[in-house]
Amino acid sequence: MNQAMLDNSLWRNIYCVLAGDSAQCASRDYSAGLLPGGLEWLAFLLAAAAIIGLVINGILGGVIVLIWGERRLFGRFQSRTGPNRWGPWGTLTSVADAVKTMFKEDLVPADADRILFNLAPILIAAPALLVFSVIPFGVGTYVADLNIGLLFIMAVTSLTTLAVLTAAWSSGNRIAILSALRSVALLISYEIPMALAVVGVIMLAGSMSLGDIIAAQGVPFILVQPLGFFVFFIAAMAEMARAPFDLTEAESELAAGYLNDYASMKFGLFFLAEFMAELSTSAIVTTLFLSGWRGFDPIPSQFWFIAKLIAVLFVIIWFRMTLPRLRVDQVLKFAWKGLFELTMINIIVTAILIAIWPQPTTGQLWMMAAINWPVAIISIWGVSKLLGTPAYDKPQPTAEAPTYPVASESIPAGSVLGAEKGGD
Amino acid sequence: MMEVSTLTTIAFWAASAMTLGFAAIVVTQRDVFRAAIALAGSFLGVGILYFVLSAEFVGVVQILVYVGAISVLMAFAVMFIQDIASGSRPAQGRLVGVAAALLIFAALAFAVYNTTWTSMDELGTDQVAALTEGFYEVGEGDDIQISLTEPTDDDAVVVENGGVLVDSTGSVGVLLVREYMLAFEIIGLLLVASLIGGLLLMRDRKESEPEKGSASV
Amino acid sequence: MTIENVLLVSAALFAIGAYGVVSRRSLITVIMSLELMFNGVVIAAVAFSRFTPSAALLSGDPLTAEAIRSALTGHAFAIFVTAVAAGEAALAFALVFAMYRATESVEITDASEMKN
Repeated sequence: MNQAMLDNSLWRNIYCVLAGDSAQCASRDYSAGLLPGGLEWLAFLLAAAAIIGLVINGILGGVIVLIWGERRLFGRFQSRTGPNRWGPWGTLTSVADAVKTMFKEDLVPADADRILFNLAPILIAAPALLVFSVIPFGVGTYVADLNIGLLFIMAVTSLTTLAVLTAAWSSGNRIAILSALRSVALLISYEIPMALAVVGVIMLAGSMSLGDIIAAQGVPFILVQPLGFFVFFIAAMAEMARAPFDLTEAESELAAGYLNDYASMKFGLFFLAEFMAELSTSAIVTTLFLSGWRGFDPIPSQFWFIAKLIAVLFVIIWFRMTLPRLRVDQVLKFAWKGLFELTMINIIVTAILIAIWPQPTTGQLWMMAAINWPVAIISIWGVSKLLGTPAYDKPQPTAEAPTYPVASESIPAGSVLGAEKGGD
Repeated sequence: MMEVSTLTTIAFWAASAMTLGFAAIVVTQRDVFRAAIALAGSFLGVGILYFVLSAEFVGVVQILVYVGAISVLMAFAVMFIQDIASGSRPAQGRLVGVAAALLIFAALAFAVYNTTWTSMDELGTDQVAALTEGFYEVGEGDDIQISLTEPTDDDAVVVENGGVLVDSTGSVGVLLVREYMLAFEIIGLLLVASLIGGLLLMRDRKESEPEKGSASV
Repeated sequence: MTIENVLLVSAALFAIGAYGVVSRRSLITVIMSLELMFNGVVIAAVAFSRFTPSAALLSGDPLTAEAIRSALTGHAFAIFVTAVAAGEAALAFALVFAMYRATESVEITDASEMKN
C-alpha cells in the first residue's frame, strides 16, 4: 500500500472500514473489515471510487458556479448586470442552461463517422477531468500525489489535440477540418512553452510532485519565477483556446468551427470541458506559483486554495473581456519567437541560480527573486522589441505635411452669406 | 521484489488487453482514420503498461510523445492525403502476413519460455533495499560512499536518492547525463537532422522551375 | 505478472505489427504498424529492467551508485527509442507526402517501379 494513500485520511477510513487490514490500519481500531479476507484489492478499488466520485462531483459543482460567475463578470465588465433571472442573482442560470442543452435534438450528420463522432466529446472531457486527480485542494485533500505529477499534467493536457482532430474529421465537413487544423496548430505550438516554463519550478522544488512543490514554496514562486509565471499563464490560456487566443471559436466569424455539427449534450460536453480546463488551469497556476493551499493557520487550507483559485479565475476572465482577438499568424509567431525564447532564458538563469544555491532556503529564495525580476523585465522588453510591431499598423506620415485649404477671412463675392451680411 | 499484488495483475491484464485489442484494430481496420485513433489507443495502453511495470517516467514520456505528438502527426497525414476515407484494402499477401506473424510469435514465445531468467531474488538484501527504498550518497568528489540508512554525520554532503524502481525520474536523469551522455547528444543531432529533412522534403517545388528555365538560357 | 507474461505481450504486439507491415496496402498504415513494432520492443526492454537484475548489481560487492542506477538501463533505452521513433515518424511522413505529390497515391503497390 502506498504511504501517500494512507495519508489521505478519507481514503484510509473507507479502506480500513472495508478491509480491516490490521497491518496498515493499526492506528485505527478496526478489528474486522466488512469484506472477507483476500479481497483487499476490492476494498482499494471501492475506496478509490468513492474519493473519485466525490472529487468529480465537486469539480462539476465548481464548474456550474464558474459558468454563472463568468457570465456575471462579463456583464459587469460590459456595464450591465449579467444573468439575474433564474434564482437569486441568477445562480440557477447554469442549471437552466444545462436543461436547455439536454433537451435539444441530438443530430448526427449523415456523412459522419458515428463511433468517432460519439467518442470525440468524451476524449475532450476526459483529460480535463484527469488533471484534477493530482492537484491537492488542501492538506491531505487529493486523489493521488504522483511523484511525476507535473509531467503527468503536461502529458494529459496534450491529449486534447487528438480529440480536436477526431471531432473535426468525424463531422465529415471540410470547414470543420480547416478550423481544427488551425486549432491543433495553436495547441501544439503552445505545449512547448507551457512545459518548459515549469522547468524552473521543478528545479527549485527538486521534484515534480505537486505536494513537494507546495512544500518548497516558502516564498510563492510567482515572486521567484516571474518569467515562468508569465509564460505559463499565457501558454495555458492559449491551450484553453481562450481569448485572446480564441481564433478557433471566434463566434462572430466561424459559426462554431469544428464544433459546428455537434448538438445537444455532445456540445454540452465540449462546453463543459472548456470550463473544466479553465478551472484546472487556475488550480495548476495556484499550486505551482501561488503556493497552493499554504496560508495562515486558523483558517483551513481548503479555504486558502479556493480563495487563490478565485483570484486566478478573475484574472483569466478579465483577460478574456479586455483583450482583442489575435490572428493565427500572430499567435504562432508569438509562441515560437517570443515565449520559447523567454523559457530558454528562464531555464538558463534558474539553472545558474540553483548551481549557486542548491536547495534554497527562504532567504536565498528572496535573493533569487530579486535577481529574477530585473532579468524578467529586461527579457520581456527585449523579446517585444524583437517581435516588433508590423509596419502596416500605423499609417506613416509623408515627408511634407499636406496643405489643406484654410478658410479665409474674406467672404467670396457671390455667396449667400455675403449677400446677407451685405444686406444687414 | 518479485511478488505483485492482485491489483497489479488485474491492471496488467487490462492494459495488455487494451494494447493488443487496439493494435488488432489498427491492422485490420479499413478506414485509415479509425486506424490512426486506434493506434493512439494502443499507445495509451502501452503507457498504462509502463505504469504497471513501475516505470512511471517512461510511461509519462510515452503518453506525451506518442499519444500527444506522433498520433497527431498520423491523423494529420491521414487528413491531408486521403480527403475521403477510401480505406485500405488488405493486399494479396494476407496469408503471408498471418503466417509471418504467427511464426514470429511462436519463435519469441519459444525463446521466452526456454530461457532461465535471472530473477531479482538472486540479489542480496542490500541491493534490494537500495532498489526499493533508496540510498544515500555520502561525501563528494571521488570519495562517494553508499549508505542505506540516513547518515548522522552533519558534515557529510548527502545526496538522497529514491528507490530507483519506485521513483525513477531522478536516476534516469542522472543516467542520461552521465553514462549515456553521448547517446543523448547524438539524439539531439538526429532530431535536428530529421527536422531539416522534413522541411526539405516538404519544400514547395514550384519556385524552382523558372530558375531552371533561366539557367538553361 | 511474471516476466514471461510481459514478454509474451511484447511478442504479441511485435507480431501484430509484423502482420500489419506485411499485409497492409496503404503506406500510412504500414508506418503505423511499424510504430507498433517499436512499442513491442520497448515493452520488452522495460520488462527486463523491472524483473531482471543487471550484471553490475549481481556482481559488485562494494555497492556503487552506478551499479544501482544500472538497473534503469531499460528505461534509458526506452526514452532513446521513443525519441528516435518520433524523429523517424516525422521523416517517414514527409516521405509519404513526397510520394503522394509525385504519384498521386499512397498505395505501396503503385511505387513498385523505378523512375521512368
